Amino acid sequence: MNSIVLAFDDLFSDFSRPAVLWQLLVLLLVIGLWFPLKGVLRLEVKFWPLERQFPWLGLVKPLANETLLWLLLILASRGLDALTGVAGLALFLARFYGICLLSRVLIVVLYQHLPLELVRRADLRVLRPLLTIGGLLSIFAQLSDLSLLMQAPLFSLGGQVISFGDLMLLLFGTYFLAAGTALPALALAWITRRLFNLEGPAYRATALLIRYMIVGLGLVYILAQVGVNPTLVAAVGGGLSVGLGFGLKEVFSNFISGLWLLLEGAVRPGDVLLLESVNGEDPCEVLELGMRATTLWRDRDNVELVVPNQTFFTQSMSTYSGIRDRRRRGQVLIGAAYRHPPEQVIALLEATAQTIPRVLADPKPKGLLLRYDDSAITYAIRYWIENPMDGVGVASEVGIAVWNAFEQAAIEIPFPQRVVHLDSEHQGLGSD
Amino acid sequence: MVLAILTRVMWFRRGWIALLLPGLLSACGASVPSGMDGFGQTISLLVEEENLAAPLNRIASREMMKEQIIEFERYHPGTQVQLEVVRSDGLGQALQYRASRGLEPDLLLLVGNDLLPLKSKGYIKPVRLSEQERLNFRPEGLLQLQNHGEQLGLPLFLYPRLACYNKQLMPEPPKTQADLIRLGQQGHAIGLDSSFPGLQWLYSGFGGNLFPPQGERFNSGALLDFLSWLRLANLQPDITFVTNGTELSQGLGDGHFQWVSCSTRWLPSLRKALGSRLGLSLLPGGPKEAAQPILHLRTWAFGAQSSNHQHQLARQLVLFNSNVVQQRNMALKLGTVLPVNPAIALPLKAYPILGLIDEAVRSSRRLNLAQERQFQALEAPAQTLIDQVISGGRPPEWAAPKLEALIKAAQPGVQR
Repeated sequence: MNSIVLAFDDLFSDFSRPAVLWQLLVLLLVIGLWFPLKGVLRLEVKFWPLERQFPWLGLVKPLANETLLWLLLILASRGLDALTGVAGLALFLARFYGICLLSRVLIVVLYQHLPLELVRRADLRVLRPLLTIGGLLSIFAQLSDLSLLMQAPLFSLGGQVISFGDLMLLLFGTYFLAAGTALPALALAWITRRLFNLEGPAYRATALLIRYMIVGLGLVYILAQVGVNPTLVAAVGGGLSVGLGFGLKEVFSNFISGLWLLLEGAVRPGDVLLLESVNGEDPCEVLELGMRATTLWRDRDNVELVVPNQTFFTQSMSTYSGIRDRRRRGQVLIGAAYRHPPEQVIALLEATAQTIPRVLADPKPKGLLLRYDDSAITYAIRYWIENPMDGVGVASEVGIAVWNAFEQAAIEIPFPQRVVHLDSEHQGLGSD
Repeated sequence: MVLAILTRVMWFRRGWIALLLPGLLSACGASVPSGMDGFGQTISLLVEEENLAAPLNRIASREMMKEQIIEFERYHPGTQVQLEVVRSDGLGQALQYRASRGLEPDLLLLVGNDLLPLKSKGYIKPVRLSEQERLNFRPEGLLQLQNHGEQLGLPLFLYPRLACYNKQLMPEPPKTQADLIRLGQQGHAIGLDSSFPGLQWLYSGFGGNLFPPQGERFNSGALLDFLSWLRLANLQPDITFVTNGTELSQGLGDGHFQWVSCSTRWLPSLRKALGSRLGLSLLPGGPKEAAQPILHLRTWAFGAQSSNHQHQLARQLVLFNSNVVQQRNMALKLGTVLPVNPAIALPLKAYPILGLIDEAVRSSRRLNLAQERQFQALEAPAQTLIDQVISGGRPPEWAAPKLEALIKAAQPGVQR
């Protein structure tokens, strides 16, 4: 711990050096100058002369003020260097700011070519933390002895001394392994797909397996770098086995279930499943198949449902997007009075369903007489739709259209009627 | 969580705030008043290490320095010394890198005393000492490190040159250079440092002086005699010239040589290798004079980019290391160096090696900073000529006038 104090005190001492102060003062002055300047120039909103010829300029336009600041920082640092020969720190800070700026440009470019969500995640979870941590450590290394800080012992674990650097590697190394391996794994899976002509589900499973493999190997490497005692790892592994037998059983089971589902292709992102709920069965779209659970989207109330993978593994599930196709068959039940000929009603129902845009023309809508009920004959109009998630909406449209068609054709939709006959003889006897 | 907060706060449209962070820290750092305990009490010390020093000698030097730092921190609570060691060939680069960032070390501990280039590059600044503080140093040592009245450095130790030999194989060391040739002829393996600085003791034996006092003529005859002796020595199969000290030190340690010219810096490793068989003596004198090797100093220099507070702390560390108690303890502990504090009375009878080193220091030649610079400038071209003579490529008569011309050209004040 003393070494950490020494490293930070050294850092603090360095900030009291006149030559360091000068460099920072110049940078602060530049920032002070930049504020009014960006207000005057208004580069982000003004029309740029070459914007029409080079449309890509519009993409980087939101970074105009930051680019201006970077240019000012570089100019000032170079000027200081020319005047005094002491501007290494200022140049470093200006260059680091330039790297950050470049990363923004890279993200803007990637947004144009890759899926938005993928780039956003890579940016937020990997690039920004990486630049932040890297930047802080680099600034520290410029001013103080980073190796001293990294080697500073923190605590002892099973006879093994854990240094500040070990802790950093354990924390950030594992974080970046978990967060930053998605893209490389995807790239490797893409190569594998090209090599072995993999199908969609197998491709996704391969990507996930490659990712798990990278994470696993990375963890082993980190532990080896930290120098964790193998006996300790064995002891922890033993404890984990017991844990798997009790508390972690479900976690492990969900993990394996997820892998199996991916390999099998039974549940894939984009699939529509029927999930039982209090309102009956709701169609839900699979958004993501995770390590422990699957995320589903229910459009009825825009809810994301997190369902443990094990559920899909052990229970039967209805899907609209399985092997055959994604089409869904819907139906609307309706009653018509007994006096209307069934052929007329069925023809009207089929014709009406065909007027609904989201109802498929092929296969044709089919009208059926289902049964003779107490007050009415019950008919069904059955039709096919393309998107299984549209079931409720299309049913509503068909229902409204049928009501209007019946109204126009003077077909009665009877409400339940009950005729009560009073027996007058029994009534008279009774009164005696 | 912290990562997420940091990421959000520092990213990106407010990225300039991150640039302000060092500024705020520096404001805090600059406001540390002199003598205040707590943060900002760390000074950095850069220790130069010889390129080819034997590991044991290196360790001995490092350990000694670490112990001194611990002692200093004990008596100066709150103050901390950040120690960094750099090899001689990497010193210039390390200083240039740090100076370009304004992070020059507060204190340098150098192997030699070639301070003028460091001053001209703006790496070091002079130090002012009170009369009382000056008493910690031998006056000649202070004078040696002055330039135009400015004290550019302060000595820590004196490292004279000696003769080291294997007592078991050579009971009696040579007293003169002629003895040295004779021993070589008799089959005793002699090792000599062929570097220009390492041969100066031989040159002085012939009455030669690279830097003659004002008004004195340059001794041309001594130069020819010296070069002729080198040629003669190399004709002896058992006299070997080597290009670096490490070879000599290792050669004596593993029995390859029986006698070598050595520096007191090598003594820890030689003691370990030879034990009681290690013999030490003054270097053999020449036909005209006793050997007068150039005296080497371990020198402190003060970084030019320190704050006043850091400079004062660096001064305190140097003065602490030069006080009577510390210098005496170090000298007795190492047993291979002579302290620079004149007030120390060393038990020379109990420590005969220190007595010998003391004698060697008194017979050594001191170069002031200007002479040291001229000597360094002369070294490379002079070495070429000397190598040609030693190797037999050119006769001494050819090389002597050329070497003389070089020496005179390097010293504007020398009478021609």
